Amino acid sequence: MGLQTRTSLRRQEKASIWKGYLRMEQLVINLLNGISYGMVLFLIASGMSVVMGAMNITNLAHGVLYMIGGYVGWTVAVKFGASFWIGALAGGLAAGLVGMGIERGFLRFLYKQGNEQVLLTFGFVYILTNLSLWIWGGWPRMPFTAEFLSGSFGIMGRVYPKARMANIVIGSFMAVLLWWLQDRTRVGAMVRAGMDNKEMAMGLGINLERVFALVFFFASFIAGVAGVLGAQLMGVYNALGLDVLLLALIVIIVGGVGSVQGALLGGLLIGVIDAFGRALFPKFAMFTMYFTMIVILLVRPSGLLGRRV
Amino acid sequence: MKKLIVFLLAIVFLVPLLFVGSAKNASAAEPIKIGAILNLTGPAAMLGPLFKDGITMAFEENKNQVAGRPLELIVEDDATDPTTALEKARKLVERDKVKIIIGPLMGDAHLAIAPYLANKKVLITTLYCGGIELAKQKQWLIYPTTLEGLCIPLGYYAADAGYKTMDMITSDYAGGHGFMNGVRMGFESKGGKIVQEVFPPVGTADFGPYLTALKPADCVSYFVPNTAESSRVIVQYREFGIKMPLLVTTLDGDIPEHVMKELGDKVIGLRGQASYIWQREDPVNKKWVQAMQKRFRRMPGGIEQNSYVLASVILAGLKATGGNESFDKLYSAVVKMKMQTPQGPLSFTPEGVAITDGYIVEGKVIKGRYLWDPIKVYPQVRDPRLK
Repeated sequence: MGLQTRTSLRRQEKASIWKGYLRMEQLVINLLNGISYGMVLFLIASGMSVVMGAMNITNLAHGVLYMIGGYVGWTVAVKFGASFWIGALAGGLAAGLVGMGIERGFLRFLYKQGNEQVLLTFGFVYILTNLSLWIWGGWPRMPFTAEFLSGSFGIMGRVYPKARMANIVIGSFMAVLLWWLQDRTRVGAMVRAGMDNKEMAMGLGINLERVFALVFFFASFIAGVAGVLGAQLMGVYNALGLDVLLLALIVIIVGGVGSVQGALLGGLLIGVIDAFGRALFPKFAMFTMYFTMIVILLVRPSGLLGRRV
Repeated sequence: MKKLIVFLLAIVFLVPLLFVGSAKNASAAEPIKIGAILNLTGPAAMLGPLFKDGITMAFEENKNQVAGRPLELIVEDDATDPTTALEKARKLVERDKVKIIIGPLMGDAHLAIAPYLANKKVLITTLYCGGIELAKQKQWLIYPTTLEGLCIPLGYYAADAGYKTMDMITSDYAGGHGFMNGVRMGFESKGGKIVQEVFPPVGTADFGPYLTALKPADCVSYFVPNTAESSRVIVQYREFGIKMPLLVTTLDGDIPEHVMKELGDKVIGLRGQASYIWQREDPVNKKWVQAMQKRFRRMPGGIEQNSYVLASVILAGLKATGGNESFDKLYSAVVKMKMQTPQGPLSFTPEGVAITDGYIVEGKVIKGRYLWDPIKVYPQVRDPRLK
């Protein structure tokens, strides 16, 4: 009798440990899902946030720049069979050039005209979306990744895709790089000076127009690279520009305008909340992101790490 | 000067009288206007041109005329948005004065325009199923069947394959609920049990949180709208190494052959529902496939087939009424039709719901091509809620 009781107690103990293990591994998987998605959101939003902060420009075409990067990346990496990383570079360059074209050709004549900027850049959303429909057609492109990132690895008894882990690593690297550029380089200092006091910065001889053009190009470049990295998860499709724009705006509102750190915090927070929300409260999946945004707007309207413009 | 003015006025008023006698002839050749609300932009932009090709084929087969009257197709783009669909429906009815509309595609667009059209005496069709509530209006042609009716065979198949439990992933909009309700109806009618159902919103980018939280079951079935989302589910499902068999709805529309090629080995072993398969061994189908290949230089799929059949049915109805497009005559002529189509035998219920065969297919590599291979046919599927 005593032996049976000890055996059943051991079984119960194992069962409860097993249950805990299952919960812990589920927690880790959800966290990884959230962080990997959050890194994509950070890359989407970082460029837009810095442009808003530095140049006071609301570039609603940022989402379609992401989409163009994705399409060009697909063309280079999948259609022409080049490496995924060359595809990412090509996507970034394509988006950077288009962004530069919008800034140099149109936006630089509309500084301090917020309404006109919004209308202009939204017009570019329609133009570039229809252009991509004309070039690449209406069928979406499937998710693609580098050869060595395809497949999965084992973690805590479960299987996890390598491409998602790659997004976490690459996103982290990009965050450090962008932070270093922003806070530890001369160009970054010029950008921050221009954000704080444009007239003073110009008075000190900083050619802000050139700096801002460079910022716009770089922000668009990052959007294009993000389009290729995000394509590992989402693929590329014609309506992506608007879908991604909405996500970018939510991340910027939560994280704050004008800083890489804000975009990172906003992206990770939204990504993790979204992942756990969908897993634990799937009926409310549509609302978790927006609920977070509403709370931040009420509590801290400038965003968690918002920089005053 | 006065004489010149009088002369010119006489020309202006008298010359038109020369054409009065021919007015009778002009109205006999008056075109039959058929409207089409298609997705030419938006998330389903790739489908609009395919639907248009199917309609074009039907028109050309009839030499662009019926009962001596030329056909005029007026295509409007609803941008895959229900508000825009309603605007376009208004424009077609009030400005273009059409009595026949093919489309729109999406379930939310149907719900948007149904109340507006309720008293308008306009024959309207769905493009890829419709909710049973539309049937009550007795104004719609719902092809190939209701939302639920389309996927009931998949539920039957899951039970016939020996699965006792199922998880469901249901896109949270009218169409999604309808399709997966059909899977549930078919599965539960044969003793199956739904263990879990999750509802990702339309436009979900990352299905990972849903997939990693699926409860153990014998199989998983899903519906999400459009190719982009459906392919994401397949890719992410495989990436997470989930072993439960995956049953997919609307394969012919969402995962056609060229998408299968891009997905590669991920589609092998996938099973699901398709309303049309081009490989179907039938003389009517073979002839149509050849004609479509010759005309449009590609293999046709379920999308073109649907609009082709709808347009053909309407044209056959117009022939039966002698070119009379008034709603009462045309609708009653059409719902009495029985015909052989590329998809199989077709007839309608009095409510305008089509009765067609349902196919279950499996992803395979056949002669070096990724194809959906038919593995089972459920003949003449009828939504059990229709008497």
